[in-house]
Amino acid sequence: MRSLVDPAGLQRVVDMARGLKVDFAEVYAEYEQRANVLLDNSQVERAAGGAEGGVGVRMFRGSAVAYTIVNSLDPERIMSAVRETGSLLRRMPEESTVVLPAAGPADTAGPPAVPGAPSLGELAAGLQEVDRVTRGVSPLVTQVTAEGQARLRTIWIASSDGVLTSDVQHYTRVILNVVATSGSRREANYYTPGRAANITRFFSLHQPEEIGRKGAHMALTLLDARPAPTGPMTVVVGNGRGGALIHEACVHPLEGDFVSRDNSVYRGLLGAAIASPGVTVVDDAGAPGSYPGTIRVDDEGCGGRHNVLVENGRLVSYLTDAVTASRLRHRRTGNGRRQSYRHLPMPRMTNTYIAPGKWDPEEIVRNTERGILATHVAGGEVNQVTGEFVFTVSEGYLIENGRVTAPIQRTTLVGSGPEVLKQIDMVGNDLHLASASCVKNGQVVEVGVGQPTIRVREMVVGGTVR
Amino acid sequence: MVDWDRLLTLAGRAGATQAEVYHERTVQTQVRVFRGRIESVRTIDSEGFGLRVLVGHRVGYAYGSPVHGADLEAMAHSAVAAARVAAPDPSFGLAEAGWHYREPGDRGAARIPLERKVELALEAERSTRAVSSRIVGTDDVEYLDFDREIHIRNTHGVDVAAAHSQYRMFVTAVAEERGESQSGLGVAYGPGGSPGDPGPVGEEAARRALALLGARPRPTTEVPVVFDPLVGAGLIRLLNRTVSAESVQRGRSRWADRLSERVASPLVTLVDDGTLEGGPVRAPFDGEGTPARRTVLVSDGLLQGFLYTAEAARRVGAQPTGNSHRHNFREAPEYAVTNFYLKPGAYSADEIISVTAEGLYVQEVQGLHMANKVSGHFSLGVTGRWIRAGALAEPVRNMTVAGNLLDLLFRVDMVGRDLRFFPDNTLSRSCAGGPTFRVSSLVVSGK
Repeated sequence: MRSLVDPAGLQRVVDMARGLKVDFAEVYAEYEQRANVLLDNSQVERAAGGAEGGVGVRMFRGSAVAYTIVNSLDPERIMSAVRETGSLLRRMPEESTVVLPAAGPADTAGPPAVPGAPSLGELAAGLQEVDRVTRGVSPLVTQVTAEGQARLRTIWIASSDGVLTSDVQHYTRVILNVVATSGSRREANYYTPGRAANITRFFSLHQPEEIGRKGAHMALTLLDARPAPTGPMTVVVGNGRGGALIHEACVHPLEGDFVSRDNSVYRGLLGAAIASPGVTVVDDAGAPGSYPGTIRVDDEGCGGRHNVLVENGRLVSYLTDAVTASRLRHRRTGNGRRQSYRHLPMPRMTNTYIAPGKWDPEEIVRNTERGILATHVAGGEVNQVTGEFVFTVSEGYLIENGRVTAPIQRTTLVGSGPEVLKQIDMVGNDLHLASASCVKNGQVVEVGVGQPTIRVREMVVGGTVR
Repeated sequence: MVDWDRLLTLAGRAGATQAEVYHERTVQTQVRVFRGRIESVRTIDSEGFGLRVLVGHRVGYAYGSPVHGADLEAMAHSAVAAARVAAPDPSFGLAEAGWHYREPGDRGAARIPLERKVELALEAERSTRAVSSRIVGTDDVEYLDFDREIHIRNTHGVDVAAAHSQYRMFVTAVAEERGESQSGLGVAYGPGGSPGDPGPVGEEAARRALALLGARPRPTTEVPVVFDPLVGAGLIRLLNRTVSAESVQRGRSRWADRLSERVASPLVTLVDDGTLEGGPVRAPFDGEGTPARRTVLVSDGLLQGFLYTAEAARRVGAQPTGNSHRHNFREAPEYAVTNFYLKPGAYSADEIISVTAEGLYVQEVQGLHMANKVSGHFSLGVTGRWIRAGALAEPVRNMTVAGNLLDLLFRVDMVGRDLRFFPDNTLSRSCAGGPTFRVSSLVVSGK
């Protein structure tokens, strides 16, 4: 494909970079192909494809990092970027030497042939089917928009700490927006399944029948939803997307960059109990099901792995990339991810979930006299400094006297991470994962989130009915 | 060098009946510092093309970064293949008013030496720490700047080019007292060739963090709520789809069929202005080459109009308003607001607080991006200060504010004159702005 991208070529670049007397040099080359289709009113309104290749050259000396980006795979331009990065680094003040913990054995398999681009036609056909199913669920479904995004990313990484590897990564996602109308009442909801899989495999893991039914159901349920209550309440958080709670409340502040800057609410707490004893939290790049955080290697070439972060309530590990592992004197956990070659890696999650417990989910509800059942979580946000977080329930119900009763309107729950983790008092046995997009400091990566059904004794519910 | 004619010819040869080439080059530097040292310096020189074609009434899009001949031909075929997957629609098309425009720009960002950018970031960090010993640290201290050139040409005679240079600075200050931490944000931006004094950005971040130390939740109640400009801008941004002609045409805007009717209190005037002097979004034309303009959406509470992409305009025989944008060359143009803001009113923020007997002053929110833009419903986590007897009192946290944005607009009863915009570190083509404003009552939930 391009003459640079063979192992010997990459190694030459790294050796040349090493010759510039830096503590670390890395070349990350990427070629990404995309297909996007937008279906509205059952018509393909927009179809777009594209391909782009580029390289990020990263070097450091001491604690200073220099990163030069070139959107070309041309060897000449890359060499010149390496020289430029080296000279950039020389202009920074002298620092003490940094030694990075090893990434693991070098993988010297030859570069994979770059597979063919994702097919617009296949994506459009899948969306048409989703559209057909969604509309067929009920005449009250009045509008359907389905967007499909497919990406194929091929990466090659070589670095001075012994990494020499390549990988092919697939990702497909459908964004289904449904509007349901009944009389003068109009409600909208959305469902956004994604997988680290090509289009064919995505539609076998997420049949159009399942996507359409769920999307329609989420909008239709809101037609009967009453305003949500407000104030402190017990919350039963459903499995799958409910994992957004642990993603915000617990794991974002465990990312090594926040910890190494002393800006995490969980800093200095390794070994301490930060959650109730029934809570074990895992970040697992190899979780089955091809959820979007499934990676063989991270974007620094470090093997993805199964990391236990919280074990029976005790904090046992942070999430690190190469730089933060060094700063924290922590092992590398294979969480150095980047949105693209144009971005610097930083500690990011892969597939993050609460391990299953013993409770039957129906028993959890039966044991709850009054509360909210959060069946589908749309998303959340956290301030890692204070630990304060929110998540939004896009399909939820009242629990009254141990039974699920009326659906409630979309509402946001607020809590403080350290408090909420200790308020988890029941952990179910029905572990399920789901997909999510995670945004941090302007960079988007796709992840898996999950949990079994859990119960939180108290969170503040942001409804409107007192 | 872009060979325009070649690309447009290749598109025609591949089967396109109309074609548009969008070319963008951005040179960007981002410096991050921490504890008096450089954390990272990132430089990008990025160049790319987007090719949009029509095959009859079907639209297709392909993008790529330069530059070999083979690539251009592949792009042309790719775009045409994409068009063949799409459904025809007579409203689809390119910008038609053929015009030439050249604005050379000054590559201001490139003229500032790297050492100076590093020094500015370090100074911002120093100034935030200098405010108080209770400022124990910082997060995300960044100086970023860019020089961006855009050139659009199509087969209808549109041939426009402009360049824009801007710097942005961000500081997050971390304050700590009695084992509790709070954070505060400072933001500044301006022309790339003349970065401003970093002192005020750092000081603002520190003040905001310190103001929240000791925050506690309060009992649930219903009171007037004052939104500071950062939060206000976030709320205004949620209206971007409601004012979109495209949303109206698809039955997704609650303001459809309400032209000339009252949709807000008489204090609310909502504007979108791609030509705004000093606005963070600067482009004399939109992502299709349509001239940028100023559009008043709501005037003294009465709905005046909507924002139109070329396609939405064609559907109803209206004029496009320059609201078709791409955030980068990898995307086909789509509806977007530009500098989108609530027009400032007469009062200072202090005056608004001083006439509020009891209420909540919101300084930070979480959960904005999950509001429902079709119904207007929102439910947010809030942090701020309680207002008592016309003065800011104890800080509050772990509370929520919920309601419906479209109903809330009727209850705006005071609007400040301190309009501000808050761009972020992604180079988005939209930015919302707000002054401080007060809403007469909202449910605020806590303990």
